[in-house]
Amino acid sequence: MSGADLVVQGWGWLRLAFGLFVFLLPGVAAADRWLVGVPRRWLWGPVLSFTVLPLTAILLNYGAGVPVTPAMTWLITLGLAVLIAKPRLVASSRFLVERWPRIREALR
Amino acid sequence: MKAPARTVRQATFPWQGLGLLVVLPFLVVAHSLPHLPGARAETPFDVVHGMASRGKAYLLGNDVPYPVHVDEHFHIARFAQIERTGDVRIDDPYTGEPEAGSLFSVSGMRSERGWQVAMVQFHQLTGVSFPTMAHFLPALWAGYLGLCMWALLRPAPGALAAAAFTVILPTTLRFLGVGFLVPSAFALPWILAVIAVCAWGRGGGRLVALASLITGGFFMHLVPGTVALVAGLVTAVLRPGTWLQRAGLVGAILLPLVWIAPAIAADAEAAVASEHDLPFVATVFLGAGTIVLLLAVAGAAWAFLRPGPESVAPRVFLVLALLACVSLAWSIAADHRNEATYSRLVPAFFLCLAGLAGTGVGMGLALLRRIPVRPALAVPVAACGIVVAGLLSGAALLPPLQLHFVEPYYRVFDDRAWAAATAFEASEAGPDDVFLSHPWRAPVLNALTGAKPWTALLPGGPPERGGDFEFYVASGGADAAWFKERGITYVVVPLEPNAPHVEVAVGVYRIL
Repeated sequence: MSGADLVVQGWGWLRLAFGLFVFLLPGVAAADRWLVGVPRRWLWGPVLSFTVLPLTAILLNYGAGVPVTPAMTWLITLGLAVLIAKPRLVASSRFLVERWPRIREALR
Repeated sequence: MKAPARTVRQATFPWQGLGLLVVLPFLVVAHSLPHLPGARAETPFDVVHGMASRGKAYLLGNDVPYPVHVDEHFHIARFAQIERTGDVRIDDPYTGEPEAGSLFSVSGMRSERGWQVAMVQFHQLTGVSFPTMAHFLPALWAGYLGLCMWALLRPAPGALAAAAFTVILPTTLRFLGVGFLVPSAFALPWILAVIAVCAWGRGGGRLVALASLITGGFFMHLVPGTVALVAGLVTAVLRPGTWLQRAGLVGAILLPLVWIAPAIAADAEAAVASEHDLPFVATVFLGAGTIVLLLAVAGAAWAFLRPGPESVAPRVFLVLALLACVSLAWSIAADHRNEATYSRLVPAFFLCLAGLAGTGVGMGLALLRRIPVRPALAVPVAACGIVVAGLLSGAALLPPLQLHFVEPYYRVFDDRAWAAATAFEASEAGPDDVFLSHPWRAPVLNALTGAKPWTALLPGGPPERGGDFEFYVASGGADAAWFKERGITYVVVPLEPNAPHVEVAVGVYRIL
């Protein structure tokens, strides 16, 4: 078995890249929201992802018996990312809704 | 009108980004050394030549693709148990017995369950196998640690040098080290993150971040979590600001103790009082090298002579290094072989040294920057300064790099052993079976199948029932009564058993 056999598993590199992207989402969202004033704050995204994901999983497992399965991990990761980035998502959607008539006009 | 002279600072600006492109891959290759076979480095030339040849081997994939450290095997067995059961509260994968103590206790936190859950989640999201994570993640994380150091110190001079100096963290010191997938090394960025948030953060969000990071740090590993808490308190005191702001930070840092302290209070004293059998390695302090220590002293002097926002992190490093030194020295003087007061503090101590030594290099460059030079000479002088700083840093890094090269590693699996392990995984072996294998390979074989190992090496002690494995080999395969007495149903050893059996694959036998 070579090193390459060990690396490329499941859906291969695409899954690795997409999984890594999703894994970083809650951490980057947390850095964006909580680390105001910290220079290059997005660099702390991986630490924050590795912080909030296991803590949430442990709390849910102990509190509600939620299992640590791949499906639940994906759900927790995306849910946390949305929850933490909520103010920015709301602001972005407001921005788009307010400008939608102008955007639609421009697209015509 | 005469144009103002360009300062060296302006002339050196582009070197920062280019420097990161050199420093981060250097850190990755240096901390990949456990996976890179090669001769020992005896002279400085051997170190330079060895790094180059091993870096080439790493890029070409001619390294060891298997987990190499006994702690990695131990944790992989637990990752697999969490993955298999989907539960954080796992039974001991070797015996099937419930783990001793609640997760919310010192003994529970010492099981490093938060880190194990984090690794399982990373595996579930990315699809990367546990052995592959053990192969690549430590080195990549070492590069990330350097990046964190740079991001933390960046406004201060020497941030790039400090990032490079994180290579002085030993790869192993009594079963610990950055080059391995183990939580005590993995949790080091939490210390830097807490300092960064305390020093630079604004608004209420930083309090949420601090409470999360401290709690997360404790669940990653108890000792780096404690160091992160102390680092946060020291930063809150040393950072510029009003006392009200400081009180808010201290409150946020101590808040996690509301849910952590009651859980650990009962057995905290016992944990600090407990001792292990492993000897002290006092010489490890010299592993950083004389130049690094001198640079660290210079950096510490600069930090305290130039108080300001830029020098907050170096001053925190100095206080932490002194506190760690006191604890380490006391442990050695009192012959107190404890993980909390000695073993696990060493990486944090070296992290502080790296930050201070980098600041020392930056101090020299800052002095150089003050020299006004003619416009025509600005670039050559800047280039000379960078070259001198690079040579000084290179000379400083040779002794710790040499230490990386001479460390004994534990390459437990080779291609043949891994083929047997894969065949064992594909067999019908399951949690109801008991297998005999080399004690060092047992944890990964357990992770692959869930079968219970008869002999296994647990970190920090001799193998469990190691004598039985030695007897099996010495007797040329034992006999049927011997297997029946122990309930062994599989043998994963390249030696045929002297009992009725079926050969599942080369080196894998099912006892009938």
